[in-house]
Amino acid sequence: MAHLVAHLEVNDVSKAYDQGRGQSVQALSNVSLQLGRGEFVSLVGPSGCGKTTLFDIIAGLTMPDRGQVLIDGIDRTGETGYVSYMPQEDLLLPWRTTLQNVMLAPELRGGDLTESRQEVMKLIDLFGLSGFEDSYPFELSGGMRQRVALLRTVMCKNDIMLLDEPFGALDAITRRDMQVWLRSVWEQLRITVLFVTHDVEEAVYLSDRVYVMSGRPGRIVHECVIPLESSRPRTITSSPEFIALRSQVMDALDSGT
Amino acid sequence: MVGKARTRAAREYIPAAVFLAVVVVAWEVLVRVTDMPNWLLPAPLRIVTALWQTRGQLISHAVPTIVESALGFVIGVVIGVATGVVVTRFALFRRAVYPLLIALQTVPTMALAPLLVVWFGYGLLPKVLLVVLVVFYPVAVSTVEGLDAVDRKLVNLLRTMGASDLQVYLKVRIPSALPGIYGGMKVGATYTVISAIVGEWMGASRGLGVYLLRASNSFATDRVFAGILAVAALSIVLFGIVALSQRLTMPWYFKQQRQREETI
Ligand SMILES: Nc1ncnc2c1ncn2[C@@H]1O[C@H](COP(=O)(O)OP(=O)(O)OP(=O)(O)O)[C@@H](O)[C@H]1O
Ligand SMILES: [Mg+2]
Repeated sequence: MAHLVAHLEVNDVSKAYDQGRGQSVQALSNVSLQLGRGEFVSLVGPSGCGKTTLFDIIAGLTMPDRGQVLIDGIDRTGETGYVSYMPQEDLLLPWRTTLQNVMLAPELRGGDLTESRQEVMKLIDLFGLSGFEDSYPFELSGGMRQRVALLRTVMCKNDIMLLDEPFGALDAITRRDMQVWLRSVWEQLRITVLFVTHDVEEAVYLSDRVYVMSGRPGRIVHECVIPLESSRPRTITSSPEFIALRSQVMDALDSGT
Repeated sequence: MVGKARTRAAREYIPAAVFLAVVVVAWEVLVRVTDMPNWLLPAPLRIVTALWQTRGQLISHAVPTIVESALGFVIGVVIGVATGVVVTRFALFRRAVYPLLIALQTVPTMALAPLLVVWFGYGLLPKVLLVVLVVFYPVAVSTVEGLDAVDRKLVNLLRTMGASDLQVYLKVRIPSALPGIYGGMKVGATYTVISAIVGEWMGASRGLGVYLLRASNSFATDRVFAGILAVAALSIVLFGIVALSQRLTMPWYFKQQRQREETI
């Protein structure tokens, strides 16, 4: 890989938040990571270790104190518009229906919307949102809102996607379905995905690689390649190989906190 | 659903209607029993009669008042919203204009009416300007407050989607400020017709203000009351138009509110 430029590279990023009265919280400390084009990488770490902060920095919303964000080898630190970002809160616009929320990114891009609308209508079924196309966010359950937010992010159409705990509010069964769906979509599209989760099994099932972060200040303490075959049936989670990988990540998580 | 809504509306409005009816009947009885002279306090029936008898006159006097109110209101809202957008968009404007705006809010706008006559004469202009001033302040201030109160995270989300400043305003800031802007418009609407009347009192040949002055000068108090009723009716209509357009532009807001009420 050394001769190739990483699709997304985070280079020695540190960030402290000012808490007022001269106090500050070190959220991230010397974080570096690389994602190859078309790679699915997960980031696991304890609550408050700076995962969301890192995503905000990659998305260009927060300036790091130190370090750079490189996209295709070009310094994009503090620049927005290069990644599709699904924030941890669903952040649906309360005055827009499901369909209108999902169509936000195509609308901002401008041009003909019929193609995007057709695509959305196909996906809405898959996302379990049919019948709720014209509902407002307050009329949806937490899990449904999260699926709307994920669909909206998918419609952003950047070839880098940041997903901050996209399945956090889902029940176990829907969550499994969405994981299988995400993995299969990713197999078709081969976009670069950076995925935050607290669920180690989810990280191992979905990813080509898993980064483990320590508690605050967040550092990368472990990197685990997942050498499972690309196409993954759900049953793979009970294979000995999978279980070994899962406990490897789990151990790294335990020792990092 | 409909039946339920109707019973709720009934529960809400019946007490007010009954109270109003009691007051009106008591008033009628009081005037008759004490044989109150008309120039002092006319009975409700007499007022209604005056309203009916002078309806042609009232309508022809109402036309210029409606024109002044409508023009002034629309212009005031447009300038108020535009000022709010400019103040929140350009930091320099906020520092230069906003403190003045807040300070000027304490100036009694009606007191400017004689000045406007000095500057602009007795035509349509000074009346419209007075209405514009009265509507402008609450709309501008509520627009600034609404645009400032936007959820930063929503703005950031749009920025990650590559939205321009204009798109952020159109898709997020203005929609989220709408409830506040409508609040400001409602405040403005309640003062609109009154301001047009005050403008007319400074000098005019036609208008409900003129009608009121003439009736009062000739001690036709029943007509004064008829004129007041007409002014009130115009105010209510304007307020109703604002409320209706809010319902049409923000259906989600009322749906959510209704649901909240039902769960309480
Ligand atoms: N805007 C902010 N101002 C001040 N401190 C902040 C801000 N955002 C985050 N922090 C602090 O930075 C640290 C990291 O927060 P962050 O949200 O990145 O954690 P996280 O890993 O995403 O946690 P979780 O898994 O619970 O979502 C926390 O200690 C938090 O208090
Ligand atoms: Mg987080």
